[in-house]
Amino acid sequence: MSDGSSGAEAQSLTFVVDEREFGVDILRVQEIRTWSPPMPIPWAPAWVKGVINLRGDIVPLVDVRERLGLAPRTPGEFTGVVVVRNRRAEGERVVGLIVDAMSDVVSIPDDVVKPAPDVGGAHDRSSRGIAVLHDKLVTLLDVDALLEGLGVDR
Amino acid sequence: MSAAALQERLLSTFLEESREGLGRAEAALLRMGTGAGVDEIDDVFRAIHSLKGSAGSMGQPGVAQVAHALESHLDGLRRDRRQPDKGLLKVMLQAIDGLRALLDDVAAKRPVDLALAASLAQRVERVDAGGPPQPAGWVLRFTPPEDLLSRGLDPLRLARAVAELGPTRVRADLSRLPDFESWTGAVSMVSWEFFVDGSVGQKNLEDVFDWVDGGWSLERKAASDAAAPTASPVARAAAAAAPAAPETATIRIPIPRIDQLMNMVGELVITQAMLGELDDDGPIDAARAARLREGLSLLARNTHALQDGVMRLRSVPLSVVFGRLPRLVHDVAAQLKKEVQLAMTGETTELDKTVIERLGDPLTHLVRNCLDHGLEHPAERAAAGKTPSGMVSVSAWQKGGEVFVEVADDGRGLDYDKIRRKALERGLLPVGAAPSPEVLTRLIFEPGFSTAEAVTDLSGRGVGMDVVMSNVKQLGGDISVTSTPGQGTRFLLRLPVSLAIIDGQLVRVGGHTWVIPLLSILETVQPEASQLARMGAGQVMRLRDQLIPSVPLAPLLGMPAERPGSLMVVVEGDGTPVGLLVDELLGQQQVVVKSLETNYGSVRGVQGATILGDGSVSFILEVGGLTRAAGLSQEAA
Repeated sequence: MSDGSSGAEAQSLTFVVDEREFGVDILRVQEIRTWSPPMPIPWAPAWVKGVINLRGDIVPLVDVRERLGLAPRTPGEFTGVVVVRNRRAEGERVVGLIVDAMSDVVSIPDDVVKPAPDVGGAHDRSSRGIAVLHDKLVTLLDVDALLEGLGVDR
Repeated sequence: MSAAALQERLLSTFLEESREGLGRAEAALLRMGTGAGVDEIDDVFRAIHSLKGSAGSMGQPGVAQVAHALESHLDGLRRDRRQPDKGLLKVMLQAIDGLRALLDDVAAKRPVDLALAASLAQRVERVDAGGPPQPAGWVLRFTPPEDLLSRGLDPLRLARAVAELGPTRVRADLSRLPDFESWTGAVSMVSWEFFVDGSVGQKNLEDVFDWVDGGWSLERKAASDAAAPTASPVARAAAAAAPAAPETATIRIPIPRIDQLMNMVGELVITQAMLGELDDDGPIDAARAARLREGLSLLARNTHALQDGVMRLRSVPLSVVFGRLPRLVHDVAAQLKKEVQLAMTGETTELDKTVIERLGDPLTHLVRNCLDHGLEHPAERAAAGKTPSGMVSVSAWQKGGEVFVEVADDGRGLDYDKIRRKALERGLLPVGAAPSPEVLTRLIFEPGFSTAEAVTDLSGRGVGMDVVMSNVKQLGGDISVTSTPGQGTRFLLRLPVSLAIIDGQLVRVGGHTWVIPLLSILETVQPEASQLARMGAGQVMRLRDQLIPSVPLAPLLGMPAERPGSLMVVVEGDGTPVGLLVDELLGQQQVVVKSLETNYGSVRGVQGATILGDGSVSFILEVGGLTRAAGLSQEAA
């Protein structure tokens, strides 16, 4: 966390979903929690798992797996929640992202981020790009695009 | 605090105080208009005077200008202990509307409409102040010849001489002043207009200016100058001022309330200290357990007192809303050419600030409705053996955790025949139906339902009784109507004291706990098989002499039912009772309403979330929305 000042790289919190690595801008992460069963919201889409009590605030949980169109899975012992700040026109809101497991905090230089090729997936728009690191690929997620439409009455 | 934040705070205080002051001034003016004591003028003067002062220091010249113009008139009235006449009263009320529009501009950080301010000020200045000694006046225009000063004539002395003759106002025209560089003390570039009281003789005025060769003219001012043709900007101001229910971000609290709160916090600290003494590693024996229990019960009491205290901070008296009504009644009665007396009681009843803010529109609509539809014209009233002037009463009182607001008139009452005809026309009733008065009464809350013969200016605003009803329902309240033909109509609003904490019934559905507001529950029953009948996909339950639709709650919430619900919570849906089958009835408790919209959005049938004693989240159901979604509304008729 020491040299975020170089400007040419950004830090990402990475996590695992469906055996692949994803990352979100660490500046958007408020905290990390273990999963606990949420209160389901009536008539919410399947990727919205419900709400939890976060120190007195009502915070919705979004399953990243199902949001990305991947097969659902019951929460296990490593299931975690990344609490992020979602910016939108109406103001900032706090949302929990359910992930299979936490991974790491990595510094990603701008020049290793490649634009994501279009593969016609369910939520391409939420990918900011692919970071090509020496040992792995990390899909960088745009938190705001990922959470677009959350809480909109259908 | 940064300079910007300080400025922001000053501005919001300025806006709040100014709006309050205008409200006070308006109310006092209206009381004077209905013949109350002339002493009210002091209130009006003080309010406008301090508005002028604070507008000046906040850098709001437009507001200050209008306030100044008003102040001059008020000062005159105050000095002479005189009532304003109808014309002056009207212009002053319009100026107050205009000032509100200007303040709205300031609040919205829009550029203040200076042209509007100028025309308002001009209009107020021009209006004839009225009163006995002033049938008309003189206008003396004086443009001094350039050599005036070198001839040793002092314009100031002339002005003083005019002022000695009688009440005089002077306006200086500075438009001919040259640039600073070309300024010379030897030439007079200023011209003046003297408005002199009509009681002053023409000869006396002419004598003053006898020494001045030319450059002045004297004319008689007609009394009708008051009706200057500047109606359009004022009308615009009035229109702009009408809908805006400005959102005030601040609240003013009497110091004793804060002191009370401090005391409670003091108690809490003592309790905490007492409990803290027990917090060592010693064993919990009987004596310590007793002290612990005592401490916990103290803590519960402190918490409860603190909760009440904080809730009371959010309480504001209903007078905030009631204060608008005299003006409304005054204006609407004049427009409808009806005579109306307004009686208000219970203005000091307190309600949560949010409830008060959202109550304004429904309440003014109900009052307007009474005037428009309820009360008859004086001739019609006289023919029915009533006093020519109608009576509208607005009263409020608190009972338990609810506040009641009643709007009643002594007019013609609901015309059930007309409602029935209209309902048949619109297909709201089956042909040949003979519904009860209760059912007909409910129809007036249907969207787009109006029995008004013609769409008047008043009822053509697109706000109907349906909006009134839904506003009140959103606040967790309800409206009931009673009407006696020929004797009047009475609307009774039932409102919760607070939106922040509600009494709830906890129920279990689909393996989760949900909260149903106690206010919307009629009763809970365990129906026997003999009380139930199938009807299509649904069920009907016989409850005493009534058949009510009943549905399992689980599917309405998109949840699987754990087991066939055997307990029924009978709730007041949209006007009709509906039975909701739940899996289990849990306890009743007060719950703190938390916003679901902050981090998520609005959910149909849910009015908010809450956190239960065990830390888990539960949803507070909004029964009207639920039953509407299930298509269970309005079926009982």
